[in-house]
Amino acid sequence: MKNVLIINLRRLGDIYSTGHLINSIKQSSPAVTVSLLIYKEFESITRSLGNVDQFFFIDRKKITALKKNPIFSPGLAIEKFHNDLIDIQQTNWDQIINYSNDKIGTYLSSYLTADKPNIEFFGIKYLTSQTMTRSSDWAIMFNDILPCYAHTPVHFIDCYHHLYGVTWSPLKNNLIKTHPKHDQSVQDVIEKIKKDGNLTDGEIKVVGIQLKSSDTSKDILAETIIELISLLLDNSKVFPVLLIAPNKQEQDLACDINAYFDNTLVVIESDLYALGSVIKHLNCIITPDTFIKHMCDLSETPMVEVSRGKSPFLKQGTYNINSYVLTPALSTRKYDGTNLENEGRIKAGDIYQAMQLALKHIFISEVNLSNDITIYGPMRDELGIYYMPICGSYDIEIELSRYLARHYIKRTFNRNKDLDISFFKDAKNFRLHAWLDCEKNAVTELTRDLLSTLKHLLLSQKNKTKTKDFVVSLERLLGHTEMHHVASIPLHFFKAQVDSLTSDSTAQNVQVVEELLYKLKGDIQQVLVCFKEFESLIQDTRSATKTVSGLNIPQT
Amino acid sequence: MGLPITDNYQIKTSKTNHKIPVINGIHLHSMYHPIREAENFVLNHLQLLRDKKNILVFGLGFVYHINQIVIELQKIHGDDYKIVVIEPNSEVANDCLSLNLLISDKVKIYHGLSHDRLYQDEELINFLLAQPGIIAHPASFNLYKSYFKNFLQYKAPLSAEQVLMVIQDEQIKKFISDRFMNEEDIKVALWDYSQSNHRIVNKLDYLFFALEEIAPLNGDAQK
Repeated sequence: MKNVLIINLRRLGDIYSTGHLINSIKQSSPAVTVSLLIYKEFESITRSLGNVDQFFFIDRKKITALKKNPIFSPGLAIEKFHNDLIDIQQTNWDQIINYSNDKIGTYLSSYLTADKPNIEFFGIKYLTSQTMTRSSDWAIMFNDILPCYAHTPVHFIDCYHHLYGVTWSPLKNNLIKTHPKHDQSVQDVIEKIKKDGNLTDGEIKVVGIQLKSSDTSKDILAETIIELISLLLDNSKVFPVLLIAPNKQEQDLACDINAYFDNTLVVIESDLYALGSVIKHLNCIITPDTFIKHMCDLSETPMVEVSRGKSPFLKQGTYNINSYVLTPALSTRKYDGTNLENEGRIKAGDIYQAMQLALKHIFISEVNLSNDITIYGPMRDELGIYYMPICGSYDIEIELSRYLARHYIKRTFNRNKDLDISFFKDAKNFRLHAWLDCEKNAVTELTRDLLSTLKHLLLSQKNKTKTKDFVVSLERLLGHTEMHHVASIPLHFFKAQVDSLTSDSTAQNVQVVEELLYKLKGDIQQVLVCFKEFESLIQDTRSATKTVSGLNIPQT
Repeated sequence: MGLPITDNYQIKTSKTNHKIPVINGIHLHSMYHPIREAENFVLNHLQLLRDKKNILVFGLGFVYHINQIVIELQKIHGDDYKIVVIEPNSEVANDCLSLNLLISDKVKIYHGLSHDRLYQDEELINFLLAQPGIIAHPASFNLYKSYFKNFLQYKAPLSAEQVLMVIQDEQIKKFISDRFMNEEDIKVALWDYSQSNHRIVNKLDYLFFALEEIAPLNGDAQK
């Protein structure tokens, strides 16, 4: 029996999203026990997230209060933190996964694995030199590339699967736990809705609308929700219900919205545990970026994810290929709480159409979105989930950049050589070439600085006074990581490996850097190979006007 | 901070035949009708009792006011409430307890304890962390004003030597005494230590660094 600990010191949504990895681990080896270390403030998830054998908690709120409030001795905070970790420290773990990728999780990974060489570790942790060490290239991908790369080409959940080395498995076995009493209550409400509308089962789809997220920048505007409900009420095939948490802010908002409709709307108020039953029994859910999205994914309930403001859907969007993501065009997004007015407002009609797609009531070709709004559909390939723009306007350069970056990653990690550019078949030739020229220029500049760094490295080995020139050229080379070109990806890998140098010997470190520079040179060649493949495909496709295979998008 | 001195203490009987403690000539409850006085007193705190089910009371007296708080809390929160009473005078507290006047077992009384001792009590700490409502019994509060004010304004000692006194775990004790023995402010010392780039020789270093990330000396904890 293998004993696995996952450290996940993040928020509710991130904890739910761990459910995919746990499912895959358990399906690949049913005898494995999986435990989760989370903050105590999210303890309520223990009643809801299935498949976890044991939960451990750090009482962050109490520790913080004990440490920061001057009435308490700091010794109390130290002791409390230590005591919270005693059981974990005394358990024999075979594997520990750092799912947190923050400093706290990383220090704790080092704490729990120190003096225990038998524990197999996945993710990042600190060495005794306080240098960070990564368990694999996927750990570099997750911690060094995805946070920096503007339009992430790999989903976090997939990154964790590759990091741990387990193949994604379809969901199985009640990943969201529910109580039969709650299930019955929700069923009764739905039956009543159908009975009151004189509709037989299957004729009406009940759609839940989540009113609030944890961040106002992500919220769907109240007037948009009202407009959306009006559209839904005009459609005899759907019935809207409002979903709220048991708190005054959401109750007040639901009350205000309901007042617009003479208090005729159905409002379902549920805590985390009961919410699992609600999600399980609804036909579709419309939600801004909240933990509910991750619950829907684990319940396989189709969903429209309305992605605004800080919501980073490319990294952590819906993982269900039957759901859709509605977003302002990526070129207008800043992924923060600023400049929302210029971010292309998502209209009620846009959400309504995305919902119809999710319910398979309309075809993709029938969708007509507002300006600068895009619907993305999740697709699964050998790397995992990829978001393909399927309706609305999108920026071809951004999509190419994402797509080719993913292709480069597939080539590097999976030795996959297939490149399907059918997606770009409608793009104008000059735009494809303009993008390619820009990327090639970036490669040229990067290569120039790489060669200069290599030259200065060799000179510095012969003459110590040239070391400064080497350092300057290395810094210039690393400056390219600020750019968001495909060629930045191998450079990020190089940077992470340079940052992880552990030897106390300068000569030894210089030798490793030299090897890494040559490796980088080879990796950049691979980027060029990707571009050449792409270029020849463009030419082949355009000159021969041959039919390219369609995308693997579920057609409705 | 030492405990307040009582020059004169006696127990009298009210017109309603209730026992009344009198300290340094001050009657802690009404000599006419202590129960009615308590009822009127608690009426002024009803909103607080609605908002908070945990109440910290300064001054025990002979618990007439506390019993009234119990009655109101039970009406509002059922059995889901807790009262903690701080009373500097152990003599009063012992007499009160021997008279068996208290009507609820959900009242915890701390009496005759210094501030340092109080702030080392785990149960009291947990109670304070839950941010209780505070009610001061006026007669007791005025009598021991500086004791209660200093309780509210208490600052825990920060020297390594005193911090070590509250820590039970021997490994942690050794770790702190090996590194910070002469430090006067352990909070600053821990922060400085976490910012240094030294080689890790003890795995507890990682634990302390993580603690500084959770609750840094300055600024907010990580979200």
